[in-house]
This record gives sequence, structure tokens and C-alpha cells, in this order.
Amino acid sequence: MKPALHSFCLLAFLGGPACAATDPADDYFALPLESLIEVETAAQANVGSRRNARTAYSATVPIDVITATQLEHSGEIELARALATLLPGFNYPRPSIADGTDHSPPFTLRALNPDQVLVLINGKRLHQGALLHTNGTIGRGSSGTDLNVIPLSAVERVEILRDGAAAQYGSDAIAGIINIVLKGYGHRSHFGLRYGRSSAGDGISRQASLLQSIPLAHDGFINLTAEWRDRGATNRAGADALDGGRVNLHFGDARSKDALLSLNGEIPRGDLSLYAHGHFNERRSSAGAFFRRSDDPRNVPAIYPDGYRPSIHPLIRDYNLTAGIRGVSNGSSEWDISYTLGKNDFAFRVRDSLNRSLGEQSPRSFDSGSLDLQEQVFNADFSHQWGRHVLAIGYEFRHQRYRIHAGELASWQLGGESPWFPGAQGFEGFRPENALSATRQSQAVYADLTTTFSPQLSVDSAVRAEHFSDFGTTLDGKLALRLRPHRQWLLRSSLSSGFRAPSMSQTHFNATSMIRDGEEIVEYGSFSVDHPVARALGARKLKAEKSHHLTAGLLFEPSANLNASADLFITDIDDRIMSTGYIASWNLAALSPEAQAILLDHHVDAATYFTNALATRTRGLDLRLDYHHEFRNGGRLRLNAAYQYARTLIRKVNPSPSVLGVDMGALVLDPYTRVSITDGQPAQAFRLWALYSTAAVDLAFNLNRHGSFFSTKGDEKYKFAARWTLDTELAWRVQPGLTLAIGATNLFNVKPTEWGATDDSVMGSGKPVRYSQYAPFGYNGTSYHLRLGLSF
Amino acid sequence: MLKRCGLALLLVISCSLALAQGSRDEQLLLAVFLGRFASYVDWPPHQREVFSIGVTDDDALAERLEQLYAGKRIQGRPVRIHRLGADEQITAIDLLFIASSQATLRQRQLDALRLQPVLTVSAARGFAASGGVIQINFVAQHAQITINHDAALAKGLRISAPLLAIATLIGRD
Repeated sequence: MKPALHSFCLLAFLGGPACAATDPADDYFALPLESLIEVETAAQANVGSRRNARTAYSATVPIDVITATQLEHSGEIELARALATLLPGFNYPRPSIADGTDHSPPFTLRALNPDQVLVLINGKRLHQGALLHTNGTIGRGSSGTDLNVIPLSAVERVEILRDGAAAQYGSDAIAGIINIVLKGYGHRSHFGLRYGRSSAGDGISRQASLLQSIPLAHDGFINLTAEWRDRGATNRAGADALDGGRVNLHFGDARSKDALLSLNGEIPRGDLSLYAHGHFNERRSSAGAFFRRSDDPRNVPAIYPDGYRPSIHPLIRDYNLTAGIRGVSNGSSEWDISYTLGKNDFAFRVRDSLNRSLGEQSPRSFDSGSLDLQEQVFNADFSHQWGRHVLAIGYEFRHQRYRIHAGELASWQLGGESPWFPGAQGFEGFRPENALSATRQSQAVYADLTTTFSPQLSVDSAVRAEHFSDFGTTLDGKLALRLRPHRQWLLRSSLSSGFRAPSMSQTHFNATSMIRDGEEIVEYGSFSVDHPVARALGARKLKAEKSHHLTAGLLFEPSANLNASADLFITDIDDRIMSTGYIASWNLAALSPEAQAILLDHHVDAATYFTNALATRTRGLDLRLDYHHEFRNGGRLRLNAAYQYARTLIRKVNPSPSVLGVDMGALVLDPYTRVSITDGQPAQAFRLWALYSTAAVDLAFNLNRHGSFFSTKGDEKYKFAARWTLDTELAWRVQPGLTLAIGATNLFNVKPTEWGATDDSVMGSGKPVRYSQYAPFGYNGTSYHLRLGLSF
Repeated sequence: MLKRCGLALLLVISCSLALAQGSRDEQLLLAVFLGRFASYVDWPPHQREVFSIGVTDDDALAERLEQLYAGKRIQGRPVRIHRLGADEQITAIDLLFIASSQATLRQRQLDALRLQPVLTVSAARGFAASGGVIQINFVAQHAQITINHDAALAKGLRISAPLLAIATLIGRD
């Protein structure tokens, strides 16, 4: 807390002289024309408003805008990693040995869950991923949205609304909204090449991108972006003393090859405009599971005499296409009708593995099945301005389909060579009993009213009613007030309610295994809430998570080139959806005899299911300071400091089903889960980003302080200390349109603190896995990169 | 924690030595550009004593212009700002900024002023291609200027080279 906040105070102090700046209009009048055209205005944001874009400084609710320039200089090739370095409170750890999660890691805002963030592209909803994060990672039990399916070179800016906004946008907008704005009208074509590697010699990354902008009549455009990305694996696993000192694990980034396409286009015709945007991403990825030593009971030594490390090779396809038409009438009315189709398909392939129960006859590679989530959204919006009022009304229809496809027989089969260990080692396939196709529809009507009583006072209000076919109806509202008592001061506050519909994966995911108990085959695993086993054990239809938000802040703008803001927030979430731990007598000593009998009757050894488990309160503070200075020599300095504090506490634990005879705390809150909710993500983050630009060069620095966090091993709680990292890039404009850049991320090779001494054979100081996978900046160390850009 | 946050804010506040108004918003830059455009354009000789700028359908911009050009001169003349309705037409002006979001209204204004020596400016896309003289758009926080040179010549307006040099030109062989 102290170092980060003190840094912010120091910056505020140093920023003081900037307050002596003159009126920007006088500055602009003094500029020659060729300099005036180079003036950079404050970034605009559309998110949170159905009508007009406004600067982040003048918005009713707190908004961050990350520009293409910042993304470009971040040194990263993936959008999620770039945002993790640029946005405090955007947590994006690098999970490893976590099945599918290695290949599509989740991100979070405000230390909440990955599914409590709504992601938009050009203001339209982007579907979530099909993958349910089931391992011990951030976001366990949730499905997030994969930001890395968007080519970085296609992004003009990313707008982050730091407030609950479900009353405007519907489900998921609890921790905030991320709106990705694609490069549109007026952008030049661009070709880019990038090469990077870690200081350890691995993690070689290569990227090539082409943005082709095709101008059309009446200032229409079609922008097509093609990007190829090859991110090499990193490995920070240490030697395994129990395996002759071999490095037999892979602990690091997955190898990931991505082919990406994106489209953004608009055809204006008078007062109408046809538009479309979309993307396609195919990712071929690979990462390892835990190593099985030669004498491991899961090994067949005749196949792998020296042991083996199964590897998971998912094929992930993701696409999204929005098409629509919008228009204006009477000068004061606008309307917009659109349709969006999106899909995420996650297919599991396993190699270098075996099915132990099939003995020496086992195949080595498996098709373990797949998950897919398809979403269709129809939107109709209308807004009208009269006098001081802007009224927007709209309708949304959403159709979701979630499917589980079974893997091939050998991927899940329990053969005769072992009573345990069925299916593919590394990732057991989905059984035919797990396969399903489930759908859900929702319909929403909403209205927003913005009233500008005076230049000093405006009020936004919103109400949204939505009916879901699976759990019922929600009604939410929002009231936001913006008061400017003095031209340099802005006070803002909002009060709202929101919700998050249970994700399709939380409602329907099921994955079960078989073991042989004598002559009997018994099952264990995850059961969907409507499965007879789950129902008998007390599972109920999932309700929506309900949230309440209060944000209050002030913004101080002493001069045109300096502004500072502070926003306090409280987010209460009721009925948070979580997975139970294993319901089994070997896991819950107090499990009722009735529940044990149910397990016995259904031939189930242990079961988990999702339930509305608890209520939390997240409190926090956002501080921002932006400074901009134009030097007389033509140089320009941009400086942005940001600090976030967000801490979640458990307020209430819901009653558990009486049939189980154990309370909800015992059912869902094992020590690991409890710590993950309250302390598993850094409560604090600080960032100082600076860019000095001249006609010839850009020099960028990005200093981050990643706050401390906790995790557990068994019942022990471990603290991982805060760390500072510095990224930098020097870009040289060789000639107009041609840029050459060299840079480094984590320049000083900072590593997260290691696990302490543990009883675990794999994780701990001196063990093969020394670092926590929850470290917010990963554990790769320094990476260097070269970048070439050509605009034409 | 709140005490520390308060301290940070107090530090910012205590450092505000000279207080200026305005911000780096697009509207301010647009307002400055309108005056600057005029300084790079030659009008046919006339007898007006003030430089008249009309703004249709955007009172906020008109107010900004009034503040900005109070006491200032364009083409050596004091500046007068006219607030106009979306469909209101006026010819005795030097520069007209057309803010209407409706293409049909914009076109009606352009048609009415087609051969009048009025510098027409708009931020609407497609404006220059439709016969407007100057189109100014903001893309990725920077201004982009498009000039329909034929439209300017038809109005008897001569745009000097420095302004043409920073613009994308259409309608010029």
C-alpha cells in the first residue's frame, strides 16, 4: 500500500508546476498550422453513453481509455497482456499446468471474477469462452472472455468503464465494462513485424500483421486486418530431485500459434449507414500436464520407461460477426438495429499420454472432446434528444447454445488393466453421458434518460428489465449524477443495481469419471445442477448473482494539461455462484448419512455442483493523474499515473441444502477458495506510464507495482510480496511511415517471490515449481523485442 | 487509507498555482481550427465590417466560439457568431459550420450556398465529397482535414498552399 500510494503522492506533488500551464486555446492560437494539425486531443469514450462520446475527464462515471499508441509501445503481442501492463486492477496471471486454462487464461477487474466483466466490441456484446476454468487458478468455476482473439493491430482504443452498468448493458457488467473500439474511418494501412524472446533464451515470439484500409464512397471504409502470431513456450520449472535432478515439468507459457482476421466496415448512404465488424481466430496451443515418473501408478513402463509428461494441444476457434444499420431522422433522433453471431469452440487434444486402464494397448494421443458456446444477439436502439433531455430506449434478444461433445472412446474409457485411472492422462475425455446441447433465451427492454439541467449539473438514469428462459426476470436501475460546481472541479456519483446471469457452463457443465470398486463401476466428478444426482444432493436451479454499486468521486482539472481524479466504490454481490467441493464422506466428515446413502444409491463416489453460495463486498479506490506537455522544441510528454485498491470480504454464507448436513462454508469454502476470494489477487496496483515523443523518436516507460497477494498449500497460507517492474521501448521513425523499435518488458528481470517451504513434492522453494502461477506479471523475467512498422 | 488518499489529493490541489480554463477536448481544437481556416482563405472583396461565423444546430460550439473569439479578429475584422437552427439559412456570413447530423439538412444548406462565397465546414463524414469545402474529423485524437478544392473555387474562395498542404484534397486535378 504505502510505496504505491506514496508514489502517487509524489507524482501529484511533481505535477504541481504543470498547473501553471496557460489556457490551451492561447497555446493553440500560437501554434503554426503544421503543428496545430499534430495536436493530440483528450481520448474520447463511447462506453456508458448511448448517444455521444465524451472525454474520460467529463464522464458521469469513471472511465479509462487505453490508446493504440499505448498498446503499441507496451511490448506485448496479445491484448490481454498489454492491458495487464497498462491498467491497474486488470489482473492477468499466467496459469500453467491447469488444463485448458493454460491456453485461454482468464483476466479479472477489481479482484472479482472473470465472468463479472462485460466485454464489448464497438459497443456490441462479445461472447464468453466455452471453457470453464475448473483448476486451481484465478477465476476457478467461471468462464471468461478471451481478449486475445482480437488482433492487437486492429484496435484503436480500449475503453474501460469502472462501474457497475448492468442496468444499461445487462448481465455481467458488475466489475466494469471493457469496450474494444476497432480502427475505423481515417486510419492508414499498416504492416507490422515483431520479434521477441526472453532473456533466458526461450519464449521466442513472432508476429506479422497487415491492416488494409479500403476507402469507400461517402467516406465509407472497409478495414481488414490479418495477423499471425507465434508465441513460444517458456519454462521456469526447476530440477526434480525425486527424478534424478531432471527438469521434467513444463511450468511457463504455453506454445501458442494464432491466425487472426478482423473486419470493420461502414457504408454510409445519406442518413443511413450499414456497418459490420467481426473477427476470426484459430489458436493451436500446447502445454504440459504434470510429469508421471516411471514408477508412477499412472504409467505403463512398457510404453514410457522413463516416465512421461502428457501434453494438451487444444484447437480453439473463435469468431464473431456483427452487422447492422443505423440512421438519423429529424436531426435529433437516432436509431440502430444490429445482429451479432459469435462462437467459441474449444477442442481438447492430448498427446504423449496413455490410458492406464488400457495397459500396453493404450493409444498415445487422444481426442478428448470439445466445448462450444454460440451466442446470437439482436439489438434495436432508439434515442431522441429534445431540449436538455436525451431518451434512449431499446430491446435486446439473446440466444445462447452451449454444447459438450464427447471424446473418443479411449479418451474416457475404463479398461480392464486398472480399476482406477480411466481415460487419457493429462486431460480425460468427456464421456457420452456428459455430452449435451443446451440453449437459453433472454429478452430485455431498457430505457436511459440523460437530463442536463445546466452546464453544471446532469443526471443519468437507466432501467432495464430482462427475462431469461432458465431463471426468470431481473429488474435493475441506475442513477448517476455529475456536478461541476467550479470549472476545475467535477463531482460524480452513481448508485445502481446489477446482475450476472449464471453462465451456460456453470448451469450445464458436467464431467465425470469412472472407477471400479470391486465389481461395481462408480462415478465421480462434476454434475450439472439439473442432474438427478445433483438434485438429490440438494442442488437447485441457479439464480442470478445480484449486485449493488455505489461510486463517488471527484475530478480536479487545474489546467488543460493536468487532471487528477479519485473515485471510491463499493460493490456488493449476493448469491455468488461457486462450485462445491467434493461431496463425499472422505472429504466432508460431517456429511449426513442421508447424503451418503444418495451417493451409494446412484453409484457415485464423490460429486460437485454449482450453487449460489455467498455474498461479498468489494471496496476500493481508484486514483488517476494525467499530465500532458508540449515542449517548444516540438517534443511532447504524456504521463499517466494510476492506482487502484480493491479488497473483497465475504459478507454472508448462504444456507446449504439440509440434505447434506454440512454448512455452506464447509461445502464451498475450503482454505484455498476462501483465500482466493479475499486475498488471492493483488488488492493494490500502481502504474506510471510515460511517453516522450519528438518528430524522430518515441521513448516509452511503464513502471508497475504489483501488489502482494496470498495463496495456500494445504491449510498453510502463503504471502507473495509486492514487486516493481519496468517496461520500456524506444521507437525511431526512420522516415515518414517507417518505424523501428526496440524494447524490453520487465527490464530488470524481476521474479515473483517463491513459495516458501512446503510439504508438497512439486511446489515450493527448491521444488520443480518455485513460483506462484497467481503472480500478476508472470514469472518469465525479462523479454526483449524488435518491432518494425510501415504505414502506407 | 482514506487519510493518505486525501493527502494525495490535497497535494494536487495545493500545487495548482495558476488556474486556466478549458481542456484538450475536440471542440476547443475545432473552434481554433475554424478561425485558422479563415486566415488561409481569400474571399472575394466585400464590404462587411465583421467576420461572421454561422453555426447550425450546435449551441455549445457557438458558445465556445463566442468565448474564444471575443476581442479577437479574423481577417482583420471583429468576429460575430450566429447561432442557427438546423434548417435555417443565412447567406450574409463568411464561414458556416454545419453541425446537423442529418445528411439531407446538410445538403440543403450546401445547395443554398453552392455559389455563395461562404466557407462551409463540417465534421460530418462525406461532407467534402457532397460539395462542402472543408471537412474536419478527429481520428485517434488527431484532426484530419479534407478539402474540396473545386467547391471552394466555385464559390470564389482561394485557399492558400499551407492549408492545402496539411489536407487531403478531393476535386482537384
